[in-house]
Amino acid sequence: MKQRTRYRIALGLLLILMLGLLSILGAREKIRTDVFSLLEDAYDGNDAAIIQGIIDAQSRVIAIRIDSPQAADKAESALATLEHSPGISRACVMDMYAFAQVGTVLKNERMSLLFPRFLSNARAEWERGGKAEDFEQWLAKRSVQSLDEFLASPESLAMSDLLPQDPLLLLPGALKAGDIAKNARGADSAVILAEASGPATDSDTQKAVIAAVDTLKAQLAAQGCELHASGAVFFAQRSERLIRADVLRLNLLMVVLLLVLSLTLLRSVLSIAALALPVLMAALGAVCVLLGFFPSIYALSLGIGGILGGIALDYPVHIMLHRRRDEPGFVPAFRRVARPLILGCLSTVLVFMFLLFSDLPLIRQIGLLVGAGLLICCMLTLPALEAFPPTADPERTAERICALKFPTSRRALIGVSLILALCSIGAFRLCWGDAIDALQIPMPDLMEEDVTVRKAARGIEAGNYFAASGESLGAAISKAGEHAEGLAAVLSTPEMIGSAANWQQEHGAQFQADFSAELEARGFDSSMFEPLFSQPLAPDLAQAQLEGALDNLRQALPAGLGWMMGKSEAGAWIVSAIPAEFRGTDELPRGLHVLDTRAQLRRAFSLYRADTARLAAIGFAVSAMLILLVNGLRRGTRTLLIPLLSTGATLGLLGAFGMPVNLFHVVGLLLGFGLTLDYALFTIEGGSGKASVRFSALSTLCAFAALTTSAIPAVRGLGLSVLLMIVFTMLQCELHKNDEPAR
Amino acid sequence: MLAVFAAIMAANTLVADIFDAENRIDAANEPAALVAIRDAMLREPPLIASFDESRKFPFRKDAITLQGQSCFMPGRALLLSYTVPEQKRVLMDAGGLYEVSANGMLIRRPVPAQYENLFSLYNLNLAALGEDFGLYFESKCETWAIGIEKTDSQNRPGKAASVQTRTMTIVMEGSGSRLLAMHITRGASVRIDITMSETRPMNDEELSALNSIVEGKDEATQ
Repeated sequence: MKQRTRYRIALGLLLILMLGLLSILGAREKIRTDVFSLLEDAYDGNDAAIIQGIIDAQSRVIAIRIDSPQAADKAESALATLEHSPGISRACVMDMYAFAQVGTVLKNERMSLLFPRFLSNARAEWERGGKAEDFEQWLAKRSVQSLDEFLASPESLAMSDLLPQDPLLLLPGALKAGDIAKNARGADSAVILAEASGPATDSDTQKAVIAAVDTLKAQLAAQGCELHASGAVFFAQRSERLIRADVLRLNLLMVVLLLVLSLTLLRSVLSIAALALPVLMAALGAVCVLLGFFPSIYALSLGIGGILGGIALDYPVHIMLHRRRDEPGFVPAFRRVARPLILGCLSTVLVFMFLLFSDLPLIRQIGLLVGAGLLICCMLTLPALEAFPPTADPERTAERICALKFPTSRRALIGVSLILALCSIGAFRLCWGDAIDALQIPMPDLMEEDVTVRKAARGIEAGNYFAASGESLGAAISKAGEHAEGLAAVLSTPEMIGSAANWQQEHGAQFQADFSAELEARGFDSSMFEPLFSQPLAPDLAQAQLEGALDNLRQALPAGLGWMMGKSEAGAWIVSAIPAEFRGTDELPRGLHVLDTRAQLRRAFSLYRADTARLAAIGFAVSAMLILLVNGLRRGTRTLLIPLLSTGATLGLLGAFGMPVNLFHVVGLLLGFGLTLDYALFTIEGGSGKASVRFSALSTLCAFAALTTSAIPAVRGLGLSVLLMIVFTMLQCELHKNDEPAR
Repeated sequence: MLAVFAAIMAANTLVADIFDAENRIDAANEPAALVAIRDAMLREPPLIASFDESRKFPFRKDAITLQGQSCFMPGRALLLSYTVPEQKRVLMDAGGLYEVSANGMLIRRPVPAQYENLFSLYNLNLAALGEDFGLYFESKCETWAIGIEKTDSQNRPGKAASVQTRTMTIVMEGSGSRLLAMHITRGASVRIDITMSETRPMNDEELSALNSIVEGKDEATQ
C-alpha cells in the first residue's frame, strides 16, 4: 500500500472518529445561542438564574400605544384581537382596570401586606419624635388626624366607601406610594401591555407576535388611528435578520477575495482545498475536545474561536511554500520550517492556554478551543499534505508571490519601528467600551418607535428598576430594605409581620380603645368603623400568611408587569424603582441588581474583556520567555519586537482616534499576536523565505478587510484591529534585512 | 353679591326636581338652550372664582369645609387651588385628575374607572358623559341646571326584574355662561357642595401661571 493511501485511510478514520464523537457528545444540543446566557457567569450563585428569569419575563413584554381621539375604545377592541393571537399569552390595557385585581388583593390582605409596615414606620416616627407619650395613644391620635386630613383630599371622594373598613388608610397609602395608576390612559392615547407566549429569541413567537401587531396596525390604520409597538421581540427578529444578511455578505466577500488571491498566486483550486483540510479537521477536533470538557458551549465561543482558522491556515501554507520541486514529499520542507513553525505554534498555544485560568466559562472555552485546535492542526498538517498534496508548483508559486521586491533597509526598519513606537503612546488614551451596542446593528426606526411607546407608557423605562432576590418573596422585600420605592416600599417583611402580630396580641385592645376615643373626640362616629383587628395576626402563622398574601399579589399583577414580582426554583424576587441616589450608576448595594439588560450585558462584557486581557498578557509574557529561551536574547528580542510594536501601534491608534476598546478588540489582538508572532519567527529565521509570510499575510488581510465592512460594530472592531496589526507587521517584515545564516 | 345669591336661590328651585323624568335628555339630541349655554361658556375667557366646599361624610358628624380659588379654562381644564384647610392644587381635564406639587409637577391621582368619563364635564361633552351617566337639564330665564346621574342595577332577591339604585349624582347650577354651584352626592350619605363667588376673567399673570401648569401637563403626557 502506498504511503499516501495509508495517510488517507488514517485521516478518513480520524474524520469518522471526530464526527462520531460530535454526534455522541450531542454538539447540537449543547450549543447555547442565547446571548443572555452569558450573564449567568457574571453573577453569583442563584442571582444569575433569577436575573435571567426577570430578563426572560421582561423580554416577552410587548408595549403597544394607540393614538386616537377614542383611544380607550380602540384599545378595548385591540385587546380582543391580541388575546386571540397564538403569539400572545395575555394582554391588558394600562388603565385603572389593569390594577383592579392588585387593588383587591391589597384591600383584602391589607393586614398582612400593609399593616406591619405601617406599624413599623409609625414606631420609627414615634421614636424619632422623642416618645413623649404612650405609643398606642400617639398612634391613635396620629391615625385619626391623618384620616381627617385625607377627607379633605380629592381622592377621599372615590374612597369614602372604603374608609369605615380601613380608617388607618392602609390602602390609600399603598396606592399613593405605589403610584400604580401612573400609566392610566390619557385622553388621546392608550397603552396595552402584552406578554409573548414564548421567548423573544424564538422565531415562531417572533412570527406570531409580529403578525398579530401587523394585523392590528392595519385594522387601526383603516379607522384612522396610529399604532406604535415595541418590545424585545421586534429587536430580536430584526437583529437576527440583519445579522444573517451581514454574515452571508461578509462570508461571500471573504470567499471571493480569498479565491481571487489564491487563484492569482496558487493558480489551483485543489491546492486551496488541500490547504484548508488540516484546518477543518483541527476545528472539528477542537470542538470535540471542548464538548468533552464542558457540559454546554457558547455559540459566541465558537464564533470567536473562528480565529483558530486564521492562525492555523498558516501552517500548511508555510510547509507547502517551502517545498522544493524535486523533493518527493513534504517532510524535507517540514524539517526546514519545523523550528519557527513549532515555536510559533507553542507560543500561541501558551497564550490561549492561559485563558483556561479564567473564572468565566466563555473565556476558558475560547482558550481551549483555539489552543487545542492549533496543536491538532500543527500535528495534522504534514499527514494532510502528504495525503492530499496541493497540485500547485511550490517554487513557481513562491516566485510569483515574491515577484514584487521591496528594498530592505535597516535604517528604514528603524524609522518604521520608531514611528510605530511613537504611535503606541496613543495607548495611554485608550478607553474601554463594553456597550452591547457593539454587538447590534443600529435599528433607528425601531428605536424611534420604542421611544414613542415609552413616552405613553411612562415608568417602564429600562434602567429605572432594581431587583432584590431571596428565598421567598418576603425575604426579597427584606433585602430591598430601605432602598425600595413604590409598591415594594409599602409591603411588609417577615420580620415586620412577626413583630406586628406580637404587638396586636399585647397592645391591640388598648389601641382599639384609644383609637375609638380619638375618633369620637374629632367628631367621628366611631360606631361606623369596623373593629380594626377583627382577624388578628397569629404570631406563629404570620409569616406563612404574609408569603401567601404576597403570592396572591404576584398573581394579580397585570399582563406585561408580571416580571415585577416572581418566583422560580432559584428563589423569589421583587422589583423596585431605583432610588435617586443610585440612578445612572451600575453600583447598587450588595444583593441588589440594576434591571437594565444593556447595563447587565455591559457589565458581563467588561468582566470578559478584563479577564481575557489580564490572562492574555500573562500568556504573552510566558510565551515571550519561551521564545527568548529557544532563540536566545538577541534573536528572541528582535522576534518579539515585531508583534509588540504592531500591538502597541494598533492600540495607540485606537486610543488616539478615541475608539472604545471592547472584548472583540482584545480577541482581535490575541489573534493578531498569534499571526504576527508567526510572521516574525519566519522573518527572523534565516533562509526561510518571505513567500509563505506574504501569502499568509495577504490572505489574512483579505479576510479581515472584508470584516471591516460589517454592519456589526464588534465585527468591524475585530477586523480593524487585526488588519492594522497585519499591516504594521508586514511593514516591519518587508523592511527586515535578514542577516542570519540559514538553518 | 346679591345677584349671585339671587341666582343661586333661583337655581336651587330648579335643583330640587332636576332628576325628574321630564328633565331627562338624550345626549345625541341636546336641547337648543343647553347648546346655547355651552357655546356661551366656551366663548368665555378663562375665569377665576373663589369657592367654598363642604364635604359631608356619614361617619363624621360635621362637614369638612374647604376654601380656595378655581381657575377655569373653558373646554380645557379646571384648576382648584385649595387654601383651607391646607394649600393644595388639583388639576382636572378630560385626561384625568392630577395633584399639582409646589414646584408645578403633576402627579396623576387614581380615579375609579367608572368615573373616568366624568372629566368630560369640564367641556360639557354630553356625548361622552351620556355613555356612562343619565343626563338631565332644566332652565328658567337665565338660570339653568344640569344633572348627571350614575345608577347601578341591583337584583332584588326573589324578583326577576332589577332595580336601579342611584349611586352618584352631580348637579351643576349656573346663570348665563357662568357656573355658580355644584352639588355631588355619592350613595345616600356623602354630599359635597361647592359654591362659586366673585367670578371674573383672569388677568395676564394668572393666565400665564395656569398655562404653565396645563402646558407642563400636556408635555408630560405626550
